[in-house]
Amino acid sequence: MNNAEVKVAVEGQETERAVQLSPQKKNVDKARILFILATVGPAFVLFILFVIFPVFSMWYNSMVEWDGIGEKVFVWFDNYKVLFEDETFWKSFTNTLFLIAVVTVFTIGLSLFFAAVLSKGKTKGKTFFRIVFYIPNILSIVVISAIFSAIYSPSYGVIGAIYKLFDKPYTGWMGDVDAVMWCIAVAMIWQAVGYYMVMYIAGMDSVPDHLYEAADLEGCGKFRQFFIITVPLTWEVIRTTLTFFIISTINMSFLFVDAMTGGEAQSHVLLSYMYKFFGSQYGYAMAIGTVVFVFGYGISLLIQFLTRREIIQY
Amino acid sequence: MNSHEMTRKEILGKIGRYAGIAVKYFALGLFSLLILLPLFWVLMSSFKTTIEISADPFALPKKLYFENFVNAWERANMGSYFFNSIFLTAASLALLIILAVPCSYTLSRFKFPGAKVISLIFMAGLFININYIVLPLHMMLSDVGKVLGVGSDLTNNYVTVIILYASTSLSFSIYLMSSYFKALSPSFEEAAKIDGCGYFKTFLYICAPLAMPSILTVILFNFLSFWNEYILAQTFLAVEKSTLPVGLLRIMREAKTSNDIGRMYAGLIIVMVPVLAVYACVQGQLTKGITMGGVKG
Amino acid sequence: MKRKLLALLSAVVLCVGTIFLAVGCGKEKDYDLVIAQLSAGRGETYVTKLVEGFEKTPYVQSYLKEKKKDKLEVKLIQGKAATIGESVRNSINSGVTPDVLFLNFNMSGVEVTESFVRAKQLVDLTSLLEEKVYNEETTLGDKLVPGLLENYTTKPYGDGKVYSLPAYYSPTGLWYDASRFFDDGKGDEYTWQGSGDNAGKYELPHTWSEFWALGDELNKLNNNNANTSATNPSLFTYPTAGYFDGFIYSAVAGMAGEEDFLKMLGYADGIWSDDGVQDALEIVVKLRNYINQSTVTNATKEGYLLNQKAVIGEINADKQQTAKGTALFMPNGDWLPGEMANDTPEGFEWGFMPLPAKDNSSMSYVNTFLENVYLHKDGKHLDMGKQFLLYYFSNEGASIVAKDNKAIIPTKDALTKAKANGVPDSTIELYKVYDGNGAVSGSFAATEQVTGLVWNDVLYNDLNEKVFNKTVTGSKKDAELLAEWTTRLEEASDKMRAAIIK
Repeated sequence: MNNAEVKVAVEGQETERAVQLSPQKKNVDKARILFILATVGPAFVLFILFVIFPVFSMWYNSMVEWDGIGEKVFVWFDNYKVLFEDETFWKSFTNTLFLIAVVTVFTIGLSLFFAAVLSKGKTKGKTFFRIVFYIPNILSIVVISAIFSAIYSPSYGVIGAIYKLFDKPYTGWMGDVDAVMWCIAVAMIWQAVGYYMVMYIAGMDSVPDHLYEAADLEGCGKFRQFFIITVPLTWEVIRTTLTFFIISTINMSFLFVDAMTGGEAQSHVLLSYMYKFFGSQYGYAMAIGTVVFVFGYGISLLIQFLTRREIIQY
Repeated sequence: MNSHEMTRKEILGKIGRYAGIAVKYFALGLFSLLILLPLFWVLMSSFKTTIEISADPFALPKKLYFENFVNAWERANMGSYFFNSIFLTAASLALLIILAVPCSYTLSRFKFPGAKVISLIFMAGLFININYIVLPLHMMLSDVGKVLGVGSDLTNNYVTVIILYASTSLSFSIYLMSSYFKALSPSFEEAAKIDGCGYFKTFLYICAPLAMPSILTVILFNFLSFWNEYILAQTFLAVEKSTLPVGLLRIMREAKTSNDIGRMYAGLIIVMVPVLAVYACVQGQLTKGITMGGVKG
Repeated sequence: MKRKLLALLSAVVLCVGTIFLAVGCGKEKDYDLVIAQLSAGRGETYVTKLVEGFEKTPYVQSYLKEKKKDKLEVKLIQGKAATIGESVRNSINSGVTPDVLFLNFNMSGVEVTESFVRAKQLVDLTSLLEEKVYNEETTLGDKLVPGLLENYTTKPYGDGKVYSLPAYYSPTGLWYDASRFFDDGKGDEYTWQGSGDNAGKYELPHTWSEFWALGDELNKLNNNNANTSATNPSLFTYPTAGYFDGFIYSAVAGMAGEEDFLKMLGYADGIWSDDGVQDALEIVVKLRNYINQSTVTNATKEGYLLNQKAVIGEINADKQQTAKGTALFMPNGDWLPGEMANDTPEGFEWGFMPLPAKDNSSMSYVNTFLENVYLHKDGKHLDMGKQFLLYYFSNEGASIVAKDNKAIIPTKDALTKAKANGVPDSTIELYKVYDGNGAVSGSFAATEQVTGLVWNDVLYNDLNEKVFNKTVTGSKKDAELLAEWTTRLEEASDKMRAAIIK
C-alpha cells in the first residue's frame, strides 16, 4: 500500500463518520447498525461462547474436585497445592522446557540457514527445495508421529535395522528415558522447519539488494553478511515467530507425545499430563491447564521483552 | 603488497567459496532426503506384507500387495472415516467463511463503538490454542447435555464439532483477512453507494470478491488444520463417527498389538494423499499465504 | 430493508438453529433392560446370547405378557476399556442409566466403577445371594466358588455387604516355555539347569530360594544379563510394570500371610514396613538383577509384545521356531496365549505356575483376576436386572458363556462342566493351579478421590522407571530402592487411608 492510498483510506473513514453524524440519514444508520450486528454478531457470540468462556470455565473448574459422576466440590486452591508438590508434574514441566529450548534453537537455526540460502543467493532448484521443505507442515501430526514411531520401532523400524547391520542389539529409543525426548524433538523439528523457513524467506526478500552489494564490495563474506545484515534486518520477523513458536511448541509437544508415547518412559509434557487426569480427576486436570495457560502467556511476554531491540530502518 | 600473497588469498577465497557452495548444496540435499525418504519409505511399506516389513524394512516390495489398503479401507473403517472427514472439513469451512469473512470486513472497515475491543478480543484468541480448551469445552457441553437430558447427543455430534472448528479458527482467519480488507481503497464502497447498493450488496458483490485471494488463503490453511485435527475429534466423537486422523491413531495403536503393520502404512497413505494432492495444486498460494498471515498457532 | 432484515434473521437462525440441531431431539426408546459391557478380552456376542436365553425364562415371559410385548427391548452399551467409561457416563447423562454393568475396577485408567462406588450408586446385592439361581434349587451364594466374595472388589466398603459379583475369575501367575522345564513339554520335569548337552533345560523353581538359585546360575552364564541369548536366557521379564499388580498381591500373601494381605488392601498404617510385606517388596526389587537387558525399554504400550516374545523365542514365516526365548518367566494372565497366537510357533507349550512359595512348607499363592458385574441403583429395571444375574450364574447361563466365550464363570458347576460345555482343555488346565495353592484377589478399599495421586502408579506402574531402569536408578543399591519405594508407598497409603469411604 503506498502513501497515497493510505491518505485516501483515512479520508474515507472521515467521510463515513460524517455520514454517520448527519441527522437526515437516520435510515442509513439503522441499516448500518443492522449490518454491523449481522456480520460481527454471530462470529463474536460463538467466539465468546466457545473460545473465551472455556478459558474462564477452566479457571473455575481448576478449583473443584470432581470425578465425573458424583457432585462437584469447591476446594479453592487445593488442586494447585498438590500440583506444586507433584513430581510428575515437574517432570512434565522440565520436559516441556526441554522441548521449547531444543526445538526452538534447532528449528529457528535451520530455518534461518535455509531461508538465507534460498532467498537471495543464486541457488539452483530454489522452488523445488521450497516445495519439499514445506511438505511436513501440511501433514497431520498423527501422520508424522506414526512415521517417526515406525522409524524408531524396536520391532519393524529403520533404526533397528541399522543397528542390526552393525550387529548391535536395539531396544527402542522411545522406551529409553534418556533418548525419548530427543526422539520427540527430532519429529517436531522435522515438522516445523519448512514453515518458519518460508516466513523468513519472505522477511529476507524484503531486505534491499544494495546492502549486500555494498557488503560484497567491502569484501565481506556471505557468512558475515548473514549476521550483520540479514539477521538484524529481519529481527522483527524472527521476534514475532519466536513468540508464536513457543506457544505452538507447548501445543505441538502435546500432540506428538500423545500420539507417540502417551507419556510413557517419563515423557509427559504439561498438556499430556493434563489429559491423563481427564476422565478421573477433572479439577486437577483443569489446574494443570491453567498453569500451562499462565506459563505460555508468561513466557511469550518474557521473550517479547528480552528480544526487544531498536528496529533498524533501511 | 606482495603479488604472491594475493594469489594465495585469492586461491583461499576461491576454495572457501567452493566449499561454501558445496556445504550449501549438501545441506539442502540432505534435508530434502530427510523429508522425502521417510515418505517414500511409507509408500513402499504400504505395499508390503507385514512379514516382509518386519524381515527387512529397507527392501522393496516383492510385488504390490494391495491387501493393506483393502484392509485399512474396509476392516479398519478408514473408508467411512474418509467421508466423515470430508464432510466435517467441508461443513466447517463453509461455516467459518460465512462467519469470518463478513466479520473481518466489518471490523476492518467500519468504525463503531466497541469495534476496537472486539478486534482486541479476537486478537487475544490467537494465543488460545484449541488443545487448551478442548477439555473445558467437553466438560461444559456435557454439563449442558446433562441439564437438557440429552447426554452425549451434544458432544458426540457433528454439528457441535463443526461449530467448534469454525469458532476456534475465527481469530486467525479474521486476522489474516483484515489486513487485506484494510488495504482496499474506500473508493469501491463510495462508487457502490452512488450506484445505490446497500451495505450487504456492497460487501457481497464488491468487497468480498476483491478479497478473494485472502479468502482462498484462509480456506487453504483451515482445510489443512481441519483435515489434520484430531484432539477435538477424538475427545468428542464416538468411534463410528471418527475422522481419518483419529482412525489412523487407532490403527497405529492397534498395530502394536495386532501385528498388522502393513495396514498402518496404508492408512498413512490414505490420510496423506488428499493433503499432498491439494498441496501440489496450490503450493504457491499456500507459501504466499503464510507471509500474508504472518503467524499461525 | 426487508432483505437486510432477512439476512440478519438468517444469521440468527443459523446460530440458534445449529445449536438446536446439535441438541438433536428425539427421546430414547422405552427399554426393558439396559446392559453395559466391557467388550475387550471377553467376547462381544455372549451378552446378546445370554439375553436370547433369558427371554425364554418364565419370569420374562410373564413380564412380556403383562406389557403386551413380544420381545425384550435391551439396550447394550459396549466398548473397550478406553471408551466404555465415557459411553456409560453419556448414557447416564441422557437419562438411560444401565441396570446391569459388566465393568471392572481399574480399567486402564478409566475409573467409572470407582466413581460409582464413591458416589454409593451400586445396588446392595447381599440379599440376592440368598435367592435361588434360575431353574435350580441352589442359592446364588452357594453356587459361587468359595472365597471370591471376601475382598474389596465385591465388598468395596468393607462392611460385609456385597455390592458387586465376580462375573469372571482367572488366575494370574508366571508363564514359561514348558519345553525348557519338562521333557516333551509335559512329561518329566528336568532336574538340572544347565550347560553342555542340557543347555536350555532347567528345573522348575518351587520356592523363592530355588528361583534365585536358578537366576544366579543364569547370571553366571549370561554375564549378569549383559548378553542374554536363547542359550543363556535371563530369569525374568515383564510386559509392562502394570503386570506387577497380581505379582505383588500373591507375593505379599505368600510372604506376609493372608491377614497382612487384607490389611494391605485396607491401606493399614505402617503395613508397608511390616517384615513380611517388606520381604515381598524386596522380591520385586531384587528382580532388577535378573531381568532381560531389553525388558525396561520395551515395557511400554509400544513394545510390551517384544517382552512377551522374549519368553517364546523367534519364529519364521512358516511358524516354526528358529530360536528359544531370551527370558524364562513372565507374569501374565489367561489371555496371554490368545494374544500371542500369531507369534507362537507350532507345537509350543505354555507353562503356567503360581509364584514360588516362601519355603517348602508354605503355600504358593495365585492371584485371581476378577471381572465384575453389578447393578446401578438409578437403573429403571432393577428387578429385571436381578433376574438376569440369577440367570447368568445358573448352569444354563454358564453353558452359554462357555460356548460363546470359551470362558468359565465363577460357579462351582461351571468348572466341573466346563469340558462338556466346550471350554478348551488349555483353559481348564489353568484353573488346576488353584489345587493345593492359596488364592487371593487384589483390589484396594474404595476411597474418595485423592487429588494428584494415582495409587496404581505408586504401587506398580512407576516401577519400570523408579526401580528397574538402570539409567534412572544409577548406582543405587537394592536396599536403597526398596527404602525409597517403601517411603512412597507409606506416604501415598496415608493419603488413601484418610480418604477411605466409611
